[in-house]
Amino acid sequence: MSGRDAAGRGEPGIWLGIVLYRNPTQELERLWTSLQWNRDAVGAPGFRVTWLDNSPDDSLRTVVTRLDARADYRYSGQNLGFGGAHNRLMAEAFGTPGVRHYICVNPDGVLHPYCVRELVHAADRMPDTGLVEARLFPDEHPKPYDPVTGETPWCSGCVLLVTRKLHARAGGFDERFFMYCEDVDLSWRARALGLSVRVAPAARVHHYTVTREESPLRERMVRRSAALLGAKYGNATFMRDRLREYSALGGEPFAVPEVVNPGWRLSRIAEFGHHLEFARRRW
Amino acid sequence: MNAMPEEVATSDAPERLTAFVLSRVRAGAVVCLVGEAKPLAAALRAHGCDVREQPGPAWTRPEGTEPSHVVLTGDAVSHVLTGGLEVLRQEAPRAEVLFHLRNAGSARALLETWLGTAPVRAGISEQGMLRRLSDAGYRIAHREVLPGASGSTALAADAEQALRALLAQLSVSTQVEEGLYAIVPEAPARALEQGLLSVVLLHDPRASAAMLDEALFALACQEQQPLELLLAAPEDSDLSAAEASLERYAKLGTFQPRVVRAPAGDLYAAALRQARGQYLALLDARCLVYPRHYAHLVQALQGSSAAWAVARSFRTEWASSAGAMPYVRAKVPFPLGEQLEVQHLTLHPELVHVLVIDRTRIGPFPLTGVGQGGIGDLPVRLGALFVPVFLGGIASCEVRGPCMAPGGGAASASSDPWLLRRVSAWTAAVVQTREEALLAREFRHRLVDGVNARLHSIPWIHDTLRALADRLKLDRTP
Repeated sequence: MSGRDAAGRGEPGIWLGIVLYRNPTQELERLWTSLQWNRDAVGAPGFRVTWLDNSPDDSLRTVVTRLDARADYRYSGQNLGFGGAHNRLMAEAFGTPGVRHYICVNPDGVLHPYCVRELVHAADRMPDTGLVEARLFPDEHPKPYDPVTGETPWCSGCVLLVTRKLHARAGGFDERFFMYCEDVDLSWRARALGLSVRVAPAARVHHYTVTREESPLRERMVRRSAALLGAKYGNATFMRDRLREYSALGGEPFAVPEVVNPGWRLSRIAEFGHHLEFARRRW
Repeated sequence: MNAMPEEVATSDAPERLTAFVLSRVRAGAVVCLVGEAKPLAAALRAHGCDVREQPGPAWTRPEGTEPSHVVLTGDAVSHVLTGGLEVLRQEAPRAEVLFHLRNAGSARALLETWLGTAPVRAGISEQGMLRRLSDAGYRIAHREVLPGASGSTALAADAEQALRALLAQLSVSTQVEEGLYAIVPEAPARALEQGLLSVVLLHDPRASAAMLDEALFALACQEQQPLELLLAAPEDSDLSAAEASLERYAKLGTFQPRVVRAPAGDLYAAALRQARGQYLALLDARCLVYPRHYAHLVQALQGSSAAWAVARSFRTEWASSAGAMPYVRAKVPFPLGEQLEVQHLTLHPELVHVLVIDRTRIGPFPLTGVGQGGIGDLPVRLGALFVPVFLGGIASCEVRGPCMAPGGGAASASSDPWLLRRVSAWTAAVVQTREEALLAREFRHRLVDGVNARLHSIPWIHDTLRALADRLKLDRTP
């Protein structure tokens, strides 16, 4: 691994965290191949990869260690959820001196060879960086961003760089979001703290979900998380609408979250006028 | 149909063959003459050639020096072309083979046979000959043809023109009445590999390396298997970055990469000759293909008898950006609607990059344009003869570029092809178009009325909109 940290402790300044849950072998093989491209790219920073497995058993250990005999694989023993699992890895990463950035990596993506390099480059370009996301490829997300600065209303968690500064000031993901919308929430909190939330257009991750099979479970989880987001940011109407959809999709009843007043800093940033997009679309 | 004896070729054919052969040989050439042709033999000897005469119609290896040229005459032409090319190639592997062919598959011959005004023309068609050359491992080094004359049948001129045009669209060879050919050995064409998709990506040196890299990255993540990717590039272009990308992405194990080098004008044709797949797609660096695009198109072909399938796509418009990467301003789906209309084929030339062809279902249809090597009018030419399967729904690929009006970059068809469709299909399309036009008019009228109702307090706008609404109402009245 190249590009040790400035402190010279031999620990890379960049950590990649991959949260697993019963992933197909081929998916992990493709991801691992693309991580190799990123290590080999000209000018690429060194990075460490940690796998945290939320699956019901640790059978993926065999797959991961076959890909990399020295892999840092951990079995969580329970499903911590997306945010919970990344929070544990993030806490460890930023507890290590010299680590500047933590990058969440979805295991069903394939990283373009320059993805990590460009993410880090974009993050280091401005001092107020909180989050930097990779551009989804080939069908990029239609939410807007500034073509010069990359500023965007929120960042996707698919491949997401979190800076040490953000972690120190905002903490990680809100673990009440088991999956979905935790990235929107973290983005809004980062912006409320005056940190920038940006897209790095040159950092691309192949991740296409538009035509994947419909999953009622996934649709329910999205609505449940969205309802929580509405409650957290004081939008009772949005919360009720999402709960109605959740119920129509056959979701089990759960304790309805309390609608709270988030304060003016968060209120002026939260955007609920675009259904589940949380920003106007470019197309 | 009963084949009749070979008709007498046009009276000057022997003289033209003699002139043709003399133009291809030098003094000292060893020429093997298969078939009776005394005047030609004498002319060759006078030209300084070493002539070996054989009675034909079969080729037999002559004693002595290997011939540099083999000339087929009379019955030997059909005899050797239909059953003796492999032996000829084996026994005279460096010889150029020269012959005259009266095309049994010319449009004129076919029409006259259909109309009963002439017997079936005996011998081999040019199309059949081309196929035999490909199978046996020959290519045409030189070809001089006489086009067939029109207006010679018992049909009205426009009907004959339409029939001839349709035949020409399917096979250019039907327009050849007779020809003089020089063929040379090359590697035999390989049979198409069943189930394989060949994607030909044309490298335009003007396209940025980043664009090409993205196109290759998207192709590397295709779900369709098996897939071979042919990167076709002009001979003098720098492919170092692209080849590095190919090598890297091939490690995903999703495609077999190949690079085809050829002169710019022959690039597509060269790539198509090397493509081994039953299924064929044509791209350039502007295209981004979503992961299931080809899988869905191939499935559509496997589930139907269609010769080609095409999907809805995005025209991705880049804004002039101050950033380092192009900024996508908009993605506009095309073609719209649930049916692929004939007009779409001319309106959206980019369709050439979002289709898959089943090459086992198009016969001798020419995939590259006549005499230009391009593919700009391929959707129109294909659609004129073969009804495609259209995958509506969500767009599954992109054609990227600076903002332009739909059809703004259109390469119109080099010809105005004839359409092969049932009258009922044509009528249904016209009816549908009329209904959509009426609906659109009704919609406009309601929209204008709605806006008018909101703006009635501003007199001049109110008057203008009122007048517009009235015009639309009048327009709607049958």
